[in-house]
This record gives sequence, C-alpha cells and structure tokens, in this order.
Amino acid sequence: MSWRAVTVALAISGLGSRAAGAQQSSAPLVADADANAQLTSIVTATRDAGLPIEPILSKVQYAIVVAHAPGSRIVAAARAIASRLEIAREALAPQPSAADIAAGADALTAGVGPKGLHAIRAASPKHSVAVPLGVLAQLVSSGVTESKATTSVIDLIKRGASPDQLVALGNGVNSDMLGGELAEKAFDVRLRGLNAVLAPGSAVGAPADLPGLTNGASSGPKKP
Amino acid sequence: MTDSEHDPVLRRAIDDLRRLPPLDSEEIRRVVSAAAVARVSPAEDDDMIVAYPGRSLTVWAVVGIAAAAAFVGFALRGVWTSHQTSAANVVASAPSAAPIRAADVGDEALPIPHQFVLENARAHRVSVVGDFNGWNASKTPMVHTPGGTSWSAIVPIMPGRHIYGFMIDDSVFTLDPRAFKSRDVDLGTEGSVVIVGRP
Repeated sequence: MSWRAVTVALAISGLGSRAAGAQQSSAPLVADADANAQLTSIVTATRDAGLPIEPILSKVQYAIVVAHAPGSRIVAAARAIASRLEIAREALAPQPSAADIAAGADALTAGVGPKGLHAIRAASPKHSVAVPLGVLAQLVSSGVTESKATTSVIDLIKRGASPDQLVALGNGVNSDMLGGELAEKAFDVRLRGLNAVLAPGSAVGAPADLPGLTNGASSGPKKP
Repeated sequence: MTDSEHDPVLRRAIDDLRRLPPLDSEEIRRVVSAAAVARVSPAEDDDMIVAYPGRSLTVWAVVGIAAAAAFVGFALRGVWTSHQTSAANVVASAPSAAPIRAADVGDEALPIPHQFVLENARAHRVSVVGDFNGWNASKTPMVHTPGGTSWSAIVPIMPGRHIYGFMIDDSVFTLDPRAFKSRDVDLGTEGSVVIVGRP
C-alpha cells in the first residue's frame, strides 16, 4: 500500500468516521460542540460529493495547532475550502485526481481564478497539474499578477517544461524574494533563465490571448 | 478451435502475412557499408555486420515484419469478425470504463523525500508540521545533529506546493527562516512554503 494511501486511510478512518457519525466514542474535531457538529457535516458532505477531505482536515488541524482559531472561524475556513474544492473539480474537469483538486483549491485560495485552472488543465490534459498549479499558486501569492503568471506557466507547459523545471522556477523566485527582490522582477529573471533552455514556442502575447484573463485583473476565489 | 480456423478467408490472409519477403543481401551490404563510411567513429560491431549481414539484419527484419504481420492480422481479425453473427467473435475496441489517467499511476502519484533543516541550539525537541502530516508534531520528529545546532528530517511529500513549519518543544510554532512565507487567507496566519518536485 502506498504511503499516500496509508495517510488517506488514517485520515478517513480517524476523522472521517467521526464525520460519518460513527457510534464509537472518539475525540471531536474541535472542543466546541456546535462547531464540531458543523465541521462533521461539512466533511461528510464533501466526502459524499466525491471530493477529497484531506484539505479540510488539514486546515482544521492547522487552525487548531498553529492559528489557535475559535470554532466559528474554523468552521468558516472549512466551508470555504469545501467550496473551493468543488470549484476546482469543475474547473479541472474531466476526471481530475484528488491531488489535482486539492492543488486547484489551493491555487484558488492563493488568488488564481477558475479560468486559470481550466487553462492549465487544457495545456496539460494527460498529466497531473498539481505541480504547475502549486507553482502558479506560489507565484500569485508572492505578488506576480495572476494573468502574467498563468499565461507564462501555460506557455512553459506547452513548450515542454517539466514539473521539476517549474518547481525550480518557483523556488528560484522565492529565493530571490528572500534576498530582497520584488516578485515581478524575480519572476522575469527566472523566467528568462528557463526560456533559454526550452524549445521556442508561439510567442506569448498579451494576457488577453487567454479568454477570461485580463491584464492585472484577478478573478480570484469567490468567498462562499 | 479458434476463430481463424473457422473462417477460411481469415485463414488465407494470415497465412499470406506469415510468409516473409525475400531479402536482398547485396542491397543490405551496400546500405551497411554506406552507413559505416558516414559514421564519425567506427562501431565495435562494424566488422560483424559487414561480414554477417544476413544473420543480424535478417533477425531484425524478421522481428519487424513479424510485428507488422501480427498487427495487420489483429486488425484484419477485427474487421472480419465484426461482420460475424456470433456475439462471441466481437472484439471490444471501445473502452467500457473511463481510461486510467496518467496522474493516477506511475511516478506522478508517488511522494518524494524532502529534507527539512532548522538551526536551533536551545530546543529539546523539534518536529516538522505541515499539510503533509496533518500538522501533527508527533508524526515527524526531527533528528538533532550530535554536537551541533541543526535539526533535520526527511519527509515523503507529494509533488506540489505545501505549507509547513516547525514545532519547538511541542509548544512553539515557528516558521522556517530559510523559506518563503505565505499568509493563510482564511485564518490570517502565516506558514512556510515549499514546492516539491522530483529531483
């Protein structure tokens, strides 16, 4: 059994069983009984909809362990993630994997719009898009405009950039920003470096080349 | 008995395909010699190929032609048997279930070992916590370098973007000073970011 399968099994058996209203006595998701009931309902509904529940469970744990958030805020966060998971699945159709859906929801959280997700999927229909979406999410959350980041990532994918090259691009931008560089400048520099080793492709024009992506405008996640 | 034994037309077609075309040894020698001249550096087996063109090239010619014959035979079987009235002879060509996606099999579905390092001379226990281990400090304790200040752990993580941090002495959450930060839009707090790819 793969490591991921074990993790999923543990998550589902440990917290998913509580979400399903199992009869066995077990610790609630949160101490607040009302919040716990709501979280259980959210997780159950998400699982029944065929969506991955790990992002919600992870957010709940993060909220408890790191953010020390009150129950009401945890519930709101869980509800937001459930909504983004649904939007991501629709944008990444057909038949996205659980990893792709989770990455898509993360990208929506970072400020990438559903149209950007759809465009990434269209550029790479036969492979997982978890890595490109992760890099895109990081670029946008760092401050690179959504249209520029999405257009560039799509162009890189079409020209044969591997997931590892995209990862190196994202990590390079991060590293440069840690050194004090601005996001857009760091991205331009790293993009030039990657462009130099990829096959030449069709020139990436204005962001308007991609329908729905306008220059500087963000079609970010809609808060439920 | 197999279907080909029932169908005389199919049987004749398969027999014809099984018969191999004759080989032109002189033509083979001419091509090999020209290739040897064009080669930048001589290959080790040049002499063998020139001296025994019939043996090695015949083998590959047989393999290629046999593969082509098998393919054509299967294709013809599909065409002919589709006209048969017996339902048992129908060859299913359309997928009856959704195709397996590349993302669900192979390397794209495997976690990748990633090393986390933190410098901390005062901590007694350090753990990595993140979205890859349910933010559970007990799952990924870090190892302290004897005589040093470094704590490290290698964690298998699925490719993509992840948020994490370190838990010091089971009580204090701290970011990775070497990593980029990201603010959680739902909760307003920060986490360290790592993007994991295949090395």
